Amino acid sequence: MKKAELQMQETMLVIFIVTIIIGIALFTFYQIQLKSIEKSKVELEQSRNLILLETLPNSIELSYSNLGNEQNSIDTLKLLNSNSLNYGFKDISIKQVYPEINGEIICNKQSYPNCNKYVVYSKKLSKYNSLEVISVPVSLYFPYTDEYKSAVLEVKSYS
Amino acid sequence: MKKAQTETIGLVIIVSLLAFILIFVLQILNKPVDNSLNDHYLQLNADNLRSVILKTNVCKDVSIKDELISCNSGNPECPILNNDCNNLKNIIKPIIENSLNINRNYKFSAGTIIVQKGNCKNFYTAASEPIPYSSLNISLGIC
Repeated sequence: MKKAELQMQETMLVIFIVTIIIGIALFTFYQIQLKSIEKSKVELEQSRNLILLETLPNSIELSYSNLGNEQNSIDTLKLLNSNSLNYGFKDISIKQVYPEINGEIICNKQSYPNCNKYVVYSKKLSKYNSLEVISVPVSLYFPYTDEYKSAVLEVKSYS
Repeated sequence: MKKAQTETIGLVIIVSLLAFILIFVLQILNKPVDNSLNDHYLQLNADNLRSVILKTNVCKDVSIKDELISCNSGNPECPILNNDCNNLKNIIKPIIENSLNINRNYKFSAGTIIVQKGNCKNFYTAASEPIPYSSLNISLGIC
């Protein structure tokens, strides 16, 4: 083999290796970008759920107010007649934690007030990749007995 | 230029390229984790929980807040407490533990009534609620 041919082969080998290195670098960069976008998507969804948890108990559709003063609690009678807006693929429910009631009794006009779970909104995905569940404590107001009970507002988000 | 010199320059270029890639990767890996969302969630939990505990009725027309004030002056109102303010802990504890879906330590204190789980240094403390005509200091922290 002549010297020129040998050098040509060397050059081709170097170009080949450099191409592979650049290819690996591009692939790695693409993967990192993809992960970053996925992470941003999850964070955005978490942020939206958190905003929902903060605003929903104080919304005019659910909150209890007396003579125009917000009482920082949820009116259970409003929960029985709630017509929620569209929140996307989510399950929003409120579960009473104190006083405790054994088992899970869904609240409706027949079972109220001897029940412990209010379904505020429900729109499930039949197939989903991830399910995020977050909750905050809320206070429930019972107008008939003028009582406050402890509960948890839970948001399940499907994606 | 001699062959050896050319090869040395090539080697230097490749090493520089690898070093550049390594710096880039390390920069991405060492990016500080943003915990602001989690911090905000814990703060929201602490604030809501404090408010919920104080508002909850122990018996007819008597909230936990009213009972804490009564206990501070040594006169519990609700018959459910059997004249012993320590029984209030048995009401506050399940409210806290059933309300927090996270397995975290907490500390609730109102005068002599203290309900706590574990020990911790950094608390996400709920804003304290002023109690009129009382020296009672009510605080709740999650950590």
